[in-house]
Amino acid sequence: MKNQGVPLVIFFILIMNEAADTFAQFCFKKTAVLQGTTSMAGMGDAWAFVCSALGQGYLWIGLVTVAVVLVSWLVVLSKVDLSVAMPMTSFSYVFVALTSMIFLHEHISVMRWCGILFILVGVMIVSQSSHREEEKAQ
Amino acid sequence: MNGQLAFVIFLIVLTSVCDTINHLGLKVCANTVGFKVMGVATVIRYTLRILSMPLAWISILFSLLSLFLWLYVLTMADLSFAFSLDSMHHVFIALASRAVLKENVGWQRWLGTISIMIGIVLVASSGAT
Repeated sequence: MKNQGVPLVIFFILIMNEAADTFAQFCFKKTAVLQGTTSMAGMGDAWAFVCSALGQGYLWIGLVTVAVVLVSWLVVLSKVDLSVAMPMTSFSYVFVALTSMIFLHEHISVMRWCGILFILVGVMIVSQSSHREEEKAQ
Repeated sequence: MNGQLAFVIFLIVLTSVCDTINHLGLKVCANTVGFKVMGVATVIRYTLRILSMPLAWISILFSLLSLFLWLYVLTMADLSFAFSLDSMHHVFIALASRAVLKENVGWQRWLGTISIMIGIVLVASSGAT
């Protein structure tokens, strides 16, 4: 097992992954903002929405970012256990909240912050258990 | 709860369900193929074998569906709201792993699941925008 002491480089890559993931979400939100309010009365509207979204540069930047994150995630997983890497992904909830606040000027109430905190802790616990459960199952 | 908020939450649930189907499908494919040695050639062979399975394509279809649903959700809701609620896919995956894949879900995972659900209720009651 490779749990003992995560190398600093891996830690750095994981944080960068979360930052990149957050950036992808930012791009998706930008795509949605540029799309504006859309009425969905039927399949025709849905198709028009998909086509115009595919024409947005932000969507493609977001998708490329997701692909890069996927590759670097696989590299990380070849170095450390899933139970080590996975809990780190819970930080993205805070990263996304901060990005929304700073760059998208969203107002985050105390209640929403509390909710985000509960989610962060929950995701951390759930993902940390991933390895142990697998071991038990075998 | 007003109609718009309920609709947005419903769409986020739908997105998470699509995500869960996607993950579940890929996991079944991965289980079928099995994977031992890590290396570029192995990864390529492994990827090709997975892509030859119809289930993999169903998974990819659901991930596309989830992407566009997600974009539609974001036209109506705050990112900090929608992204937080999307964490419910962790709960769905835990439930589905137990029901479909017969994986062992221990008390620790249930504890985390409960914490996520409390968080979701708090974020949901803070309103979508």
